[in-house]
Amino acid sequence: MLSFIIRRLGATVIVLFGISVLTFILIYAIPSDPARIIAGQHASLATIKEIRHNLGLDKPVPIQYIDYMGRLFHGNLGTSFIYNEPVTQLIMSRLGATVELALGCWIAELLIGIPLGIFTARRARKPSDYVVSALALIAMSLPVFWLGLILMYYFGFIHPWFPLGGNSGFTSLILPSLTYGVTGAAVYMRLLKSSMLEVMNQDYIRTARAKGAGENRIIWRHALRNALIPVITYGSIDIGTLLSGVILIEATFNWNGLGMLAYQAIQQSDIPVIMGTVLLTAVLVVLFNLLTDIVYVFVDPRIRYD
Amino acid sequence: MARKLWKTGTAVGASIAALGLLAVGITTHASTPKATVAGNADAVSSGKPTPGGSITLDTDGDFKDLDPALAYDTISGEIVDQMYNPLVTYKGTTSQLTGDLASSWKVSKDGKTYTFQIRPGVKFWNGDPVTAQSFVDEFQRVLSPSVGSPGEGFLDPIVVGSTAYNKGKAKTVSGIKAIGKYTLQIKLTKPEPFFLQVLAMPFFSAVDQAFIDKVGNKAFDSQTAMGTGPFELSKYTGTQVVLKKNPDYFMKDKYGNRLPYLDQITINVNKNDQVDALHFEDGQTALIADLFAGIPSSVYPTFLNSPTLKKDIIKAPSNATYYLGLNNKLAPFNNVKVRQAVEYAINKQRIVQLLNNRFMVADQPLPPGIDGYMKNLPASVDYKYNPAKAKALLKQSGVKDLNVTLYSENTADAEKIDDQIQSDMNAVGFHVKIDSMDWNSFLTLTEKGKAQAFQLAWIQDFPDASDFLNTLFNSNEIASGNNASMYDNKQVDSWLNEAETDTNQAQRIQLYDKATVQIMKDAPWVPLYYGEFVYAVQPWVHGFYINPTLMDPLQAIWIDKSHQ
Amino acid sequence: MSISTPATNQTVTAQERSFVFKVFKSIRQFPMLYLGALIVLALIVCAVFAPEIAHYPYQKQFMDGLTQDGQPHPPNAQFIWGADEVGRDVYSRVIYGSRVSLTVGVFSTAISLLIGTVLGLISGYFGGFIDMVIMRLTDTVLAFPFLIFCMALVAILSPSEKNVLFAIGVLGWGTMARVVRGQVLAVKEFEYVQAARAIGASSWRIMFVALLPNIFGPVMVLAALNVGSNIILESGLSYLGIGVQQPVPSWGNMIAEGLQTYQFAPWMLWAPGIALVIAVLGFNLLADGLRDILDPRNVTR
Repeated sequence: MLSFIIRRLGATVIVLFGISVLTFILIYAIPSDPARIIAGQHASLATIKEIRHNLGLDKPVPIQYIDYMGRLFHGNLGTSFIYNEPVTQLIMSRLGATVELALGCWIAELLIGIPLGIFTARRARKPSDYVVSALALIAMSLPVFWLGLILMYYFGFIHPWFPLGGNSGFTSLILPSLTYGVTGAAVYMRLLKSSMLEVMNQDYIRTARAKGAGENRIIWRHALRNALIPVITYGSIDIGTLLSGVILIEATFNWNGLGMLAYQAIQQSDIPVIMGTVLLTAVLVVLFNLLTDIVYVFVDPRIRYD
Repeated sequence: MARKLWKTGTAVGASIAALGLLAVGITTHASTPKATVAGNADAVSSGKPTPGGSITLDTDGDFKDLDPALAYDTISGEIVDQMYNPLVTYKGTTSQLTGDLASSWKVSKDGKTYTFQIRPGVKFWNGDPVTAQSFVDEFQRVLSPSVGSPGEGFLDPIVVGSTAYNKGKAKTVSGIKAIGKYTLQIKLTKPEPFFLQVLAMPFFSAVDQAFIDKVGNKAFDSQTAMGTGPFELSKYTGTQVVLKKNPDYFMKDKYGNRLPYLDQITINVNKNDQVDALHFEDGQTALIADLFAGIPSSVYPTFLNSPTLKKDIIKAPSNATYYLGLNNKLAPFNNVKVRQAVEYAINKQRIVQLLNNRFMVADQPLPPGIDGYMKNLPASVDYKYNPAKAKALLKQSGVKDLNVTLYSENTADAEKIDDQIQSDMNAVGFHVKIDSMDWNSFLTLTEKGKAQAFQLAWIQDFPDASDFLNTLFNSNEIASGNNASMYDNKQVDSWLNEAETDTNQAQRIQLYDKATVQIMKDAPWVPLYYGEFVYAVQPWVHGFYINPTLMDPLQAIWIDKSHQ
Repeated sequence: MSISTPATNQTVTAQERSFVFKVFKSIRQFPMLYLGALIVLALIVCAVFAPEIAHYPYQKQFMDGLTQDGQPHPPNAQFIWGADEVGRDVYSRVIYGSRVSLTVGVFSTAISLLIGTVLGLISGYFGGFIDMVIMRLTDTVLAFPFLIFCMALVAILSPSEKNVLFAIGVLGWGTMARVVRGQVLAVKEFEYVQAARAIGASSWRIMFVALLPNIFGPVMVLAALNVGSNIILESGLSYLGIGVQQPVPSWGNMIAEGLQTYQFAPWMLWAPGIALVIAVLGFNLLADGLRDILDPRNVTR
């Protein structure tokens, strides 16, 4: 077990290294000069040179990378070119909002997906299953920004029940979460449905049935517990990707999170901020994956790592 | 390449002109409603201002800088203008200069020495006094390479000793001196007729050097502020700014009330324009003005279509010119006939229609609000839409390869216009390919002279013809990237250079007229349309007006919901 | 889906009857699959015959497509689904949009399919160090904030149809590689593979001749799903301003435009929006149907 975790951690480090190198290469391929942009038009060439020097942009790219990584090991993500603020501080000021939103979206997915999964599994191949499955498929096909704006228009403006975007407390979280929940729940629903159907066919369920246990008891006590395993797996990976995946929701609902920060940074060639956000989200994704693998060992006795 | 657009791109920067302080001294040059309120009758308020209350505003861009030496985009400019004051500013809606922190000033006969009397008794929010040294400090900061101010080029090399200081060869700027507590003297290497307009830019505001030394330059730009302005910084998070009233602000209105009226202003970063429009429709926000560079074009038709919203729109001309640049050094536009053909090929009226008739068709580089604009262009350079003539000119030119790539920023407006230019030019025989990209990449490309044709705008820094004609057409501005069409005409250069130092305004205008005609003859640009401020103001917001050079007059507005 | 019952037709031969009966039965059994296939087929027809089906060229700006103050014209006889904000025909653009959206969806999937299948095969088949390297690479790609990465890549390459589909394809192969590898690990030990090995077939031959056909099913399911999600992804990139650029119409950039005009020109939002949902639905149904067919539990029914 311990060696498994160590090996996975080692792999994680390699992955993060790969990500940092790739991001760095990518950034330097963007054809614009941050120093020129910071300096403004009336700045003399000397000023621009000075800015470039101050930012370390006059060094060769590999040296810049090494410098960057050197600072990184001291927990220093650098200073934003545009905002003149430490990247750590910028990220921290936005991270909370994104975590909040990602959690909201995730819970909405589960709250919609799991009951529907149970429902469709119990009604498998009945008309109600088909109707719900078809609706779920349509929901899956909706672009979030489209659904988001429509929801906001009808439930924020025409009927002012919810705030019109922004992150200001619990009520402002409902519409964005719902938007993501509706489009993302279908995956959970289908996953749970198929794993429920599989579990229901297994011997121990048959035994339980034979012993005369009620159908509800079978589902809640026996089937669901085991059927949830793949849902948990997917769920933990999902929440990792959600942290970088809610960017469209952020853009639609004026949610000032990490995604918007990264988006802006790319447009302005704000290298330290791009690096910081990309690395942070990647670390989170990798950590969630690692966590899943480890949790798996405890949850599912069939899996062994040695 | 409007400098104002520098950091923000045309989408965001598309309206405001030069920064400058809006702390219009209402006591000294009474901004009577008649004189100052533009456009909308609803905004004209009858009755006395009522102090108190607070407003909320949205912005669709980012707050980048708090430091007046660094702020150079409209959004940072809006808050910096509330917090700091320069020496001079503009009266009401006009381009007429008036004292701000300077109570009076003198210019020597040779036009090279400026002496300012600083308003005595003014204090920073922390109680530190404002003196002539407060300005000397800021001038030095602007000139220091370590600060990296975009305002540096406005002083260097025109101010005596500026270059030596910038290069680190002198400890002080020899041309800038505090003579006694309240007298500031600035010496120039040669006369500059628009130097006072330069000084009205917020780069050159009074700062509290003791405070900056304590917090450091970085924090002074990204966390905290210390100024003299009507509003103090109360909260700054990058996504939200809260400004609260400075109770000791030095300006009073004509009734003797101390400005500002509002207790608090909250500005939220909300990047989705559609939602921002809903906020305004809902009455949650007070204005859609400088923080948006006007009503965003994507929501403008929504305003047009709603009878109530339509009444909230106010307009005023901005000093900005939007143009199609033709690179004089690259084929096929190295041929003047080909360039002239484009002048005739473009249907500008249609472009204006595409933009919901918000703007005015342009016929020359200078906008009508700038002294030197020619009301009657000679017929030979007054190009009107005429595809037949364009075809004929192309034929005369004998140029066969008419493949052109048109570059622009990837905003909705620019792309709409791209499409129109493409179909207009193709109709007369060009083969136009469109390449639109993000603002920074676009700018880098055009500045290096690699773009054959490009769509760009210039928005004034200060209201003077020099800021358009000299900056954009003098061949010595090719290196800086301002003259992106690589226009190079020695005769025009000599007229422009002469006008740079001529202190006789009438003579200057004559020089600029000659230059305008020659430039239009050479056709390095197709002027497309002139900018316009198109703002939305709630009927319960009073005292709002538009100065083409300054930011929103937030210190002069008050709210009264019973009085609409 | 209503299907007439040709089984009652007297003139059909027994063989034909049995074929028709089979088709009918199969439709009854997998209605979703057929509905999905029908939608996808319709899309292909739309895309291939766009010039015939559309009323006008997609980029043509009509003077009368705009009102006097420059607003889009509502639907009428000339513009059956209205005009857009520069006076182009929305109907024609939706039809041509099928071309772009389908191209982006299919080709980006093809790219990820190619990379993912090859890497997955190699990784699963050889195992050991090669497997380790490829899987770490896969982890890297999967851990990347996909949209942010796409944005950066498109920013470098400049947004165009070709670059968008390239970016999506090149970044999207992670899942594909994992699934292929998993399948390979499962079938690697099957007897026929062992047999192929025993007779001395080369590694490449085993991978592409013995293994590939046997993992084809799940890969196709994933591919079909991928096409749908890539179409949505392109629309997301368009929404952020880095998708397919005007005047080329993709449903994504049309929706992005429609979102700006929904209050006064809702047709600009609904027409491409509904087209996109139907298309993605089609691919999802197809994927679902394929999965049902491949699922052994269904065969017994």
